[in-house]
Amino acid sequence: MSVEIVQADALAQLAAATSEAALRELEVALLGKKGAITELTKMIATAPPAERGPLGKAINGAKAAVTQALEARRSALVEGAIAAELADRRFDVTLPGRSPSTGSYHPVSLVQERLEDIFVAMGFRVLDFYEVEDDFHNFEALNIPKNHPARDMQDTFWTTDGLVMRTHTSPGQIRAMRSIAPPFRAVFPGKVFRNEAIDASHEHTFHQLEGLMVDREVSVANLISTLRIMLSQVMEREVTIRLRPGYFPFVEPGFECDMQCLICGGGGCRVCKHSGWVETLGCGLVHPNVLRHAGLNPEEWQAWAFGIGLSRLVMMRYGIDDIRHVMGGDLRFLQQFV
Amino acid sequence: MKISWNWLSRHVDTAGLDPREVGRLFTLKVAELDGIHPRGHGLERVRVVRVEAVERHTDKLSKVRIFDGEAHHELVCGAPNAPSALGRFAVWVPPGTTLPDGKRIELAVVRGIESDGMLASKGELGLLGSGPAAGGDEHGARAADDNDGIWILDGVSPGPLYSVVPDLRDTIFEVDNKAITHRPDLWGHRGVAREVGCLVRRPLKALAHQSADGTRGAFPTAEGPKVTVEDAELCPRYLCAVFGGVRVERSPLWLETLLEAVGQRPRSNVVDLTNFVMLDLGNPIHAFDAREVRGRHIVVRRARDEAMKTLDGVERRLASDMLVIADPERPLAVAGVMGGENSEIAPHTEEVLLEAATFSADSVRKTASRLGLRTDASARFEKALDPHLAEDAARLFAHLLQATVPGAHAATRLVDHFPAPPPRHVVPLEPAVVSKRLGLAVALETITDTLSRLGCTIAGLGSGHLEVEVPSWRATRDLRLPEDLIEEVGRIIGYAEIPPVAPLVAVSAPELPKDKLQERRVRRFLTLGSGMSETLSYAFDWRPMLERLGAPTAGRVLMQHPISADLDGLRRDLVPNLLHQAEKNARQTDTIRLYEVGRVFHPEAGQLPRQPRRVGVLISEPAEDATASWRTLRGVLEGLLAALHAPPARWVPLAAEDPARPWLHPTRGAELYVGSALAGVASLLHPRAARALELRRPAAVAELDLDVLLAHGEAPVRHAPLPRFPAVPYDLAFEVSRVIPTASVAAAIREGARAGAALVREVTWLSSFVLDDERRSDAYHLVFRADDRSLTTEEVSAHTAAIVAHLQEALGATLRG
Repeated sequence: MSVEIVQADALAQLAAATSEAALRELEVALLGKKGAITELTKMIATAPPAERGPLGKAINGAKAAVTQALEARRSALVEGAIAAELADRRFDVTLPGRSPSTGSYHPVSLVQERLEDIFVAMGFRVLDFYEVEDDFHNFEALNIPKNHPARDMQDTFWTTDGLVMRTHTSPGQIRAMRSIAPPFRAVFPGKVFRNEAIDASHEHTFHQLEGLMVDREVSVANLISTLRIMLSQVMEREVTIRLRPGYFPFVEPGFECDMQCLICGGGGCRVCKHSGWVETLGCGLVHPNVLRHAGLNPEEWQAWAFGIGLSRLVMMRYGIDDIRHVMGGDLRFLQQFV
Repeated sequence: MKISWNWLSRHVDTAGLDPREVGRLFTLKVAELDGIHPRGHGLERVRVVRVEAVERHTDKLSKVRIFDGEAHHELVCGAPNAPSALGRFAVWVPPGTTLPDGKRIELAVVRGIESDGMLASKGELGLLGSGPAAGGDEHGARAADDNDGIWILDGVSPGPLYSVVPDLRDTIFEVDNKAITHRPDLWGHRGVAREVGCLVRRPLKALAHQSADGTRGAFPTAEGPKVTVEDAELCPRYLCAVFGGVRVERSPLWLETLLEAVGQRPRSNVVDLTNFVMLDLGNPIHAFDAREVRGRHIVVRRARDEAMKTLDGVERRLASDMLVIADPERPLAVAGVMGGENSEIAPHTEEVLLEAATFSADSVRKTASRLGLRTDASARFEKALDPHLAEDAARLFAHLLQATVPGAHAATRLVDHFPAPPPRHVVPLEPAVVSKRLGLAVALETITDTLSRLGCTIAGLGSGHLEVEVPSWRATRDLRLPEDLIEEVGRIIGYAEIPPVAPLVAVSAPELPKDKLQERRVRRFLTLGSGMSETLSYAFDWRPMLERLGAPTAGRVLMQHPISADLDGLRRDLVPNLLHQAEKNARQTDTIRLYEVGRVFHPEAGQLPRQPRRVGVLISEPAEDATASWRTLRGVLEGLLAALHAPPARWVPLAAEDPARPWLHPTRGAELYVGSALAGVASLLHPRAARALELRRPAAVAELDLDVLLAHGEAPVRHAPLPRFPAVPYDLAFEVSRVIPTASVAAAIREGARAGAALVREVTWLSSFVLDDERRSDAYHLVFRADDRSLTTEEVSAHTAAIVAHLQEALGATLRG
């Protein structure tokens, strides 16, 4: 077969190729080891010596022409494909995304971790204590002896063995002071229990976070400063707080701490019962009897403590209007928090 | 507790004070007010009228003719008590009046009669208040509803309501009872007035009987009742006297008005006066019908094995640690709690024996709680009352009785059994400590001035160590320590005056302890890495769930008084509550992935229960088959262990049913061992449990003990150098018996490589499929690699041949094509 015919045939095939894949196959069929153009070179060996030079030239010429045509065709096809993709208006970016399934954190965990982080940054350690306590730690050591009227302020779950579902996180004060050498600062979050009927704003099981600072000299002014930092951080804006007298047997003086209502800014609304203030936590200087029960000499060591209702804080933070959601396990609720 | 502004004005000059401002100060400096409510306002057009004729119109309606002092009117009245108003006085709302609740009264035609306004009940006038009455009423429950009847008055004349009842307009403070449990002195108007006086710097007025001319409130010298106090510890002070010439009738209007203002239903003059004295001074007193006190002899003693009927009509069994007031024959009252029916003031009572006493706070509290009978009286006695108050109460009653009941008089001396008056109570106080504790510089004069205004007497002014004598009304329990006095100074100055000061402390290393860090890793992996939702559930089991699962309900920590029979004990495991929540969610969705981090409770005799921290996992979602469910659960747990830096667990198949945990599947579950420690269990739901529950999809559950993992699990993460020589992959497929676990095949592959075992870097199970009843085909992906050279094809072939031979020999497995 003459070089011209092979070349003409190759160019025709290249011109007819309509895809890059077809072009790749053609490249092998024409220029590969056993390709038609490569095969031509075998003719040189059998040609008379005088013809070998011109034949070789012709074959090289054909190879060059085919190679060039191949590249030209390839670039035409690539450009065509790109132009076609760019011109395509049918692609739909409004289809929903396809993501790996994501879970959710419980809102109490979210707020609790945030509070822990705030306090860790201020040099507090984070502790965790038992939910079933004994009378001594939950009451007696906290200056609430048997027959103290304050025992009626908290509807207590007693176990048949005479133990207590802790009514507050305050037993941790005793356990912390007994196990850690002063001075120290600590917070301890956890579940607490009150034997009372459930409704939209009452739960028998809820969460608190207790804070405790023990040092040689602590003051109400220190307490106020720490509370303000905590509440401003957790609410992510400057908050205004106020202390007023509050009675808890394990602190003296004892306070209720109110936060200026974040909904109305203090003007009065439904959330703050038109008072402008929302009761946020109880706190005070730790009572000398409690220090003594915890093995510290009140002449030598002072402490302040506070206990904040985590569940309440979570409800305020996320605008949850029914406390029963918190322990209800409804995925439609849980999946709102990531 | 309700406090009336008008009543306060009897004790302190309130002229020119704004009740709301005083209420605000009270909340900030004394105790929280739950509310401040106006009472009796907006009734300017309302008049007291004489009822001149009442004529039955229909069954329920009466036609009434009234005289308002100037003109006659006719109207229709539906009140059942309308007929009894004839010849007496009622309250008339003329047409065109808008009542406080917004209701407008117009001329109306009722059953063909033109009705000129209406006769009103106290409820319609807004006089019954919104809140509940303060505490239990010792004379039985409030009548069903005072709206049933119109307000009938006696001994007045027609005129504007505000002229006839001058103190009707009032402001009511709702004091939060919980905020004053430590303040025995605040359980009456006088105590509250004393604080108000301190806040606004006005003196307390003298008591009514102290200002009287001497004839009132005084007692004759005639011999009084005999009093025997057998237990002076439970009754430190007992006063009594007999009053004669009593006629039991309706109380005067001023008394009814004040009592109703604070939510008390008027009864009769004698009973109303005892209530008035209690609400005025805070010391409950009790009136007996003197003729019913046999032998005129009062015995204060512990109860024997006996019973009595209290004023609420209930027969009460008394215990020997309860204190009773008795005569020589029978108990007459449960001391400090409630009187008895046998000596009750009755319409015909002419002689009254009045008791004013101080009872032991603990004893009254215990008795009231044992009898389930919390009364206004017990609420006060259990706060530990000042024994000096009892005498004031007796004298005030005497004064008021003679002033309001014509002819009534004290017939005997005032017997006073008070063997051991308490000593003066002095608290030492260093002025410098006040400033230190508050974090605010407080001048000595401020300290002494504040404490004096609160009734303290101060000595030692020159020495720098103050000796503060506490007034008797604060001395029983309340003010004992320097700290208590610091609080008094701080609250009266106002805590708003204290500037925030950051504590000055040494820098310390931030510390998030291991258990907290571990819990965070658990949450992070399960939430973000496994698409699970964190939940929380009660420490209590949901008992119906245990019962449906066939799980034991014994062996748990049980509650004495559970919130309900369904929440009677503490959970031993997390899974049942997760199943409970999953079942509720299954009504909405068929994809449920829940986990909880929490404690479970295992009783220990004589000590606190063991309360290990666990993580529970539940997955119920669409899956091709049981194997797929299992592999999803196992994958989550393997990932979790890796996220906790724990070594891979050994999965030991469960061998049998677990009667304590009947939700575990005996042949589709495993225990997880980390090192030698049992760290948890994972299982598909037992088919019986699955059938008992209404889950839409097959469920897999697991529970890991976080404390065990913390103790055995944590391995530090270390970097491994990246390989320098190429790996050689090799795929193999075997036919094996279906009873041989996949893990055994994988282990045999490593074993079979023998000398080359170190070169086998990965043995990855790719897939299995069933060939017939007996056999399945397993496909594995192997990776060979040496650290010091490139492996040759020949070397790898030799090892794979050894592996194939070993599998044949050990497991009867044959190589597939």
